[in-house]
Amino acid sequence: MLTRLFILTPIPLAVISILSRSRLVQSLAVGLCAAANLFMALLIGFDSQASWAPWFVADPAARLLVIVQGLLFACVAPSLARQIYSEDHTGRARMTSGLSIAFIAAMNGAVLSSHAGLYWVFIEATTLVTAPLIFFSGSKNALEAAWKYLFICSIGISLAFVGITFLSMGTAPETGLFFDDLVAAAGKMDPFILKISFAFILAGLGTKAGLAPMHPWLPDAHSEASPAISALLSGALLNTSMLGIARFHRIVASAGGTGWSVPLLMTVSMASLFVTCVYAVRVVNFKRMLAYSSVENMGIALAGIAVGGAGLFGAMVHLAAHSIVKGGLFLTTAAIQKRSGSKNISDTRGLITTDPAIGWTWLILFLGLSGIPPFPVFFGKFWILTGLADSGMTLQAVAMMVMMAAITAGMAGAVIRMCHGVPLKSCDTASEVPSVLWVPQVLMTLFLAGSAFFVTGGRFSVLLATAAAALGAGS
Amino acid sequence: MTDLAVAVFGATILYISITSRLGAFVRILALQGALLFAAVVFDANRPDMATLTFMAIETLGFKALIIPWFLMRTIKRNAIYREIEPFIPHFYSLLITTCIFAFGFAAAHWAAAHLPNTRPLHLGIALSTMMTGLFVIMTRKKILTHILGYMTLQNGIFMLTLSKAGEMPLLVNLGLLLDLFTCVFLLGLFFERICLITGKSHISGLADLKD
Repeated sequence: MLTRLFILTPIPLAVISILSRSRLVQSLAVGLCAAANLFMALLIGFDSQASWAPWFVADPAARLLVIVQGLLFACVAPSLARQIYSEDHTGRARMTSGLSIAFIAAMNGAVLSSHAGLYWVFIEATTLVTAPLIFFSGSKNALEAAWKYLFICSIGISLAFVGITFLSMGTAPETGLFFDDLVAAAGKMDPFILKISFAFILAGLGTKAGLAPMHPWLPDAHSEASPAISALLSGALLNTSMLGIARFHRIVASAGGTGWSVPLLMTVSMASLFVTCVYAVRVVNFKRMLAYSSVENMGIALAGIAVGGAGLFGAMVHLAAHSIVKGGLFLTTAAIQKRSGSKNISDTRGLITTDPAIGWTWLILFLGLSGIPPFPVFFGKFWILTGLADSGMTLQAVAMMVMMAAITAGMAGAVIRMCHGVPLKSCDTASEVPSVLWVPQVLMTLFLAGSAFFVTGGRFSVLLATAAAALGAGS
Repeated sequence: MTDLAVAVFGATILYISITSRLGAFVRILALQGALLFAAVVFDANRPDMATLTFMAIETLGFKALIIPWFLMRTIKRNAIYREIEPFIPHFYSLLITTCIFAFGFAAAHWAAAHLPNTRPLHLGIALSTMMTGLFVIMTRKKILTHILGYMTLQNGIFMLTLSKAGEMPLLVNLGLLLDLFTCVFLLGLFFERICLITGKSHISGLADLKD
């Protein structure tokens, strides 16, 4: 019953948002959806029996991501509600509130789907509901970003469907496409068809997850969307696709295909880090810098998914931690943009002087993203590197560390320049930045700083471990 | 009858590769929808009545009528009738599509040994159609042609699902159709907005965002 409510609750709220002409109702619908979503996510997250059988089953990995999505949406909701409330155009306000609630519903559906075909339907649905949200500002650049996102991701997701179709061809007709059935039948699958299938699925879901070389849409879409939508795209949408890759890789691993799948995944992982290495140091737009960082972090998590064991546990920690950190950083860009009037790194100076709360939040969240202890990204990276070393991939682990250090150094230069120095004359230092644009991030920073306790012990730590175990081969 | 429909469907992709008229391209997509309908209805391995009815509506209603009507309307509203300067001349496109066709069948013949429950003719045509759709997207400049290439890819994927013995559950099929229809609808709307804002109907109008 709870799972049904969880999946269905956003639908009437989305309908109310779209039908209503009142900004207040639309903003309240977003807030109510976020609160209900978080409440039910926490209940489902710690309820191992939650399901809407046979289509939706809350396995440990799904429960973990449901909690993370719930937390993130709750943090994003104030900024999103403000954006809707202050929108002059009725159509845009309706579109933003209705589609962002539908987006949450689609992501919850994708995460909980126990059927590969249904998972695909929800993943494509996330693309369709978010494309108009990226076009929110109505500018030429936003239009270009929305088009690239919609077109590239739709083709990518189509390729993933080809992979799922091949997967069904490689199994007996009575097997069906439920993930657990596919894992059980993995040993009988034709290895050749499994290879073709996984290659298509990786290309498709990799496109959606922003993994190189299928990433070109990501910096455009994440930089042109409003900060609240960017936070949801980077913090939640990418995880949903990574979960799909992990679920399909579990089938490959159960069929004994890690001999070819691990090198394939590691190549994509390294390519993602390399691309970020090249671009992170030369970008001029801080939102694009954060977007490239998402490419890097999905690449790091992919390495953990590839090697399994401690690496997979690290990947779960990393995905969860990255969501909250990146969500906080994207939300903070709204306050920075309001102050400097630009998305350019060179137009922002002296944040700590003009707005200590915003400046310090930006700096501390960046440290969290870089993997400085005690932030949980550190633990994620640590276990992923441990997993690589355990699997005899010391060279890859060293290469990954070198690239991570280069990316951090490149981004740190930009962040430090933004935080320190003398504010530029072009900065609007007179007006007050609304507290809704920075208070949630301060809370997120405090939560993240203390979250080492959740990662290293307690019920959440058990959930992380069971999520990793559930996505491992033979589970 | 099914094999005949599938074979004619295969022939249509050769026409797609050489036509510069967007209206003709859309009519071919409508014909593909009708041929997919024939392939579904006259198939010896018919699914249950509910699934059959759904697939008939999907192919004849959406792929042969509604989506082509929407695409034709988009062409007329924007007065864009031809793909004048593709990246590759049409003659070479035909040669390449012929090679794609041959490769599709070679791959299907090769894969047949690994896929006992699959029909090689369907598989070969499906692979060729999907590759042709991607080829059209890569070699044409008009954004509208990209949408038509995407629809070609989708028709190829539908043919791929017909090539195997088992079918998707009705719920999943319903979701697939809803996603496809919404996607084409959104692509069409975005295309009109691109023409309005950039004043261009080809991809050179979408090259401002870069590092």
